[in-house]
Amino acid sequence: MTALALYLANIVVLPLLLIGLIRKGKARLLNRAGPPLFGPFYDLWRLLRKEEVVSETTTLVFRAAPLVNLAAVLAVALMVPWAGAASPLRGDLFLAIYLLALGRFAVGLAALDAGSAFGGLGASRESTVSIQAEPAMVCAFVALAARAHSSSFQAMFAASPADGLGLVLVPLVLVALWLATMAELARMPVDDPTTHLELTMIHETLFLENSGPNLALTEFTVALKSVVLLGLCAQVARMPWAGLPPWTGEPLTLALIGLAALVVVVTESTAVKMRWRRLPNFLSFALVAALLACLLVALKG
Amino acid sequence: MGVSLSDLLLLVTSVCWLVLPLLAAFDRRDTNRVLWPWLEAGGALALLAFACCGPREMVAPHPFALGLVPIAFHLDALAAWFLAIIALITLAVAPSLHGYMESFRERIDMRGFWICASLLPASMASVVLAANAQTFLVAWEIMSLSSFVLVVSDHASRSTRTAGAVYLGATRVGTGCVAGAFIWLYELTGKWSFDSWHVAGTAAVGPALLLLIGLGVKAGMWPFHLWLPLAHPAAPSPVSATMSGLMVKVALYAMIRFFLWPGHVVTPVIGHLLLALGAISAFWGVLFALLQHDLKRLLAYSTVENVGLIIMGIGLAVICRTQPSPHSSLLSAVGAVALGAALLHVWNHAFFKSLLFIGAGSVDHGAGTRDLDRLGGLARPMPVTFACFLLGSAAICALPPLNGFASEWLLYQSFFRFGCLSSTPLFRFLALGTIGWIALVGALALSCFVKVTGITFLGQPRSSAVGAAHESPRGMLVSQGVLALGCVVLGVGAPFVLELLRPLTGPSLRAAFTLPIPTLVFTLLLGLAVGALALLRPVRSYVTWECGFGPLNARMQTTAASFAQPVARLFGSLYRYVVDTRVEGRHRRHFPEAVTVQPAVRSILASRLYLPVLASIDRLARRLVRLQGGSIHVYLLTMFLTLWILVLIGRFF
Repeated sequence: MTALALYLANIVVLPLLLIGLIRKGKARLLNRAGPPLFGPFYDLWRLLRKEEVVSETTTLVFRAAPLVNLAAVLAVALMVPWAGAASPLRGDLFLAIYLLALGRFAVGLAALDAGSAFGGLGASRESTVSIQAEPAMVCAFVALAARAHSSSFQAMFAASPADGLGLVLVPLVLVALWLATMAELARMPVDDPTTHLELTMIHETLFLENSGPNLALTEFTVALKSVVLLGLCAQVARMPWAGLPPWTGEPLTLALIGLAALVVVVTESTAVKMRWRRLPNFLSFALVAALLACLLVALKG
Repeated sequence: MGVSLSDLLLLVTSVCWLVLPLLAAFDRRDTNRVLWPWLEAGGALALLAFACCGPREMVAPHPFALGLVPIAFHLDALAAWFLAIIALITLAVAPSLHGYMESFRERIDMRGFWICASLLPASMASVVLAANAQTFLVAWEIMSLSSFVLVVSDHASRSTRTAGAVYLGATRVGTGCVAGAFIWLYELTGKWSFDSWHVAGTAAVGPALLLLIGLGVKAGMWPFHLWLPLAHPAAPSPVSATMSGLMVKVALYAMIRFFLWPGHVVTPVIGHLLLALGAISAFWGVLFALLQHDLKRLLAYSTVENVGLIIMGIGLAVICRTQPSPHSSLLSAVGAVALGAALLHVWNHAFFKSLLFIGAGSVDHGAGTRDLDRLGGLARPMPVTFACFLLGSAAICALPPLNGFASEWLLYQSFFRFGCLSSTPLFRFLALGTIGWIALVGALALSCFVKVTGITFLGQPRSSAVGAAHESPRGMLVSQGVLALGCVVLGVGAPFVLELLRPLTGPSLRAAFTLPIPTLVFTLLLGLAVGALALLRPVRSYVTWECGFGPLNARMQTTAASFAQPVARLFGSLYRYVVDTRVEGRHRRHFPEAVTVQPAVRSILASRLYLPVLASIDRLARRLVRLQGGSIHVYLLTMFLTLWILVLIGRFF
């Protein structure tokens, strides 16, 4: 019962709390008071009660895309084994990657639906980022999966890295996953989430036309996707401590997600957004780290 | 000697598909009768029922033979799988034929069209059933020539004639290599029948390479794929659907039969070559698909990509079969999964590619153009086409829970298991790296099809002609609906389809499919329901946000070239991606009057390999033409020299 309650809390409460934490952290780092910690909850409630404005050029795709995106990311969230507890949906890593692709497909089409220049720009750039980030993410997870001889998340994170290989593998996989996650979530240094200049946006141009409940769903889905990807990074980082008793799993995961949020806060406040053309250089680090991890696993056998 | 049910079904199929051409050839009054597609569909239905009958051998009676060799056919599990897909796709495409060709009846010789439109599926079925070399080659040639006639149906257009010439040249090369390989195998084994060919080891490498080239040309494997993006767009859309969905699969059937199951020419070299060439085909195909702005050319390149994926599966299965290792039983399970992935993808690709090609034909028919830079906003006037095309795009991007995902998942699993179980570290690393490669190909395909669907159907029309678009005739909608339904059924019912493959792969394939499809579908529907609750409120309609500068016009939207530009620049060195920008006007630095942006792509394969070779053949041919100058002295000298050389060869070899 408590496991189920914790699971639901991870999926429903944690995403918005994480976004609030990041916003508050960035403000405090700049010596400002910042928005309230539970701000995203108020934002969601406010947006759900507002009237939605839909462009005349759009079709049913525009209204249905946030639903498909939410369903896909929710399915992935139900697949992640939080803190060792069994996940309701027994999928594996390839299913998770392609469910995220389903969300991206829907969002890309919705962006092109409005017939504006910004939507196409956002869809084009989002696809390009995913083309470069996905091989790195897949190779990183595949290295862990090959070590566990199974592609399900449950088995991947349960294989304890007691030997030397595991201790070298976890940092490599973490580097690859972290860089790919920053690109997928459109965080600094790939994209500035607070920018107002449409020509520099990657992720935010996809949602310029959304309003009201549509925007509420979209923002919640983005927050849920952040929690899912950061949660997967946290599960990887937790692997060296797999020998601890099971009740420490959830607090450790939350602590690691908090640490990840802190790193995001510091990066977003201090780093400069990269030039768009330098993105392949940035993500090649991720790909090389992931391939090195695969090489180590292949050599060890 | 009784007449069994399968004999009867074969008779019905033959009557429908071979008598139809005769009826159509002598019909003077109406060249586009509704009867002909019904006959074609009837023949397809009978063929489907025939494929479900058990394995059997059929040999034509004594007077009918090809020289000294009888005409022999052989139906086993592999042939049944491919016969079933030929029948299903022909059945699904048949309703669209009448409506689509109605607009072409003045420009095209419809009698020739109907003759070849029923000869093509009949010859494809004959190739799949063939049991010896001569039957195979005769059926192969009929398939090539009938598809050539269909490709150049609209031969008034110059680009169609060029495409036809390239296609004909490619089929000559392909058939020549296949025939050469068969002759080589006859020299090795002394027989023409496939069942008696069991060649392995170093003796098998020569014929296997020839077969690879010949079948690779027909399948559209890199580097022999150049005819595909020319021929498939030139043909009428239902024909493109058949060619892309079925004809390349017949070449893949031959590859599986000779290299793998039951395996007549088995060597490990072929496995590695198939894997490498398949991987390059997959990447090359989808990359070039992203750069196209012609709807059907883009789909043709996407066929190259999917054929590459299937060939990767076949290559891995051959490697698993031929690799001597202590884990040979485990590896044979991996090989079964790889073969199952390839076979399932054959079915899935046939379904969604045919759907997309008929959708492209529907767009061409309704909007009058195939150019992505002129299309847009077709979702409102053509809702059924849009819905089916959307489903087909989602299927080809391998999005769960549709059918493309099931076969791509199995392909990933086969490489993953090989990466865990192989005994060579290098192979393990390469298998894990290949998984990343397939992920890259998948992401490129997603980008490509978001672009195609979004630019064709969404937004505002980019030209005034497209603004007056109308929905296609009902037959085309029926075809698309049936194929779309097939995509959904094959996706959700993937475990049941894998049961059908049990005779070919054994029980390990079904056991390997551990995806929780019902739970997944339930979760997705639950998520949709939860989201839909939030959207129950009424909405207000307004214009797209234009920053307060006034109404947006269609020219401000993303074009196909601008959507693909970041990726094109990323891989630009592979094809010399150049963007030529010209600004015009008297004071153009400060007050430009016209800006022209032209991206240019040049295939290095065509310009560095094929065109120089063809040019040198042309030069050689021009020099040899002097031998035919009309001088009888030169003719006599040539005959005498030829006779002398033949006598020398006969004397000393």
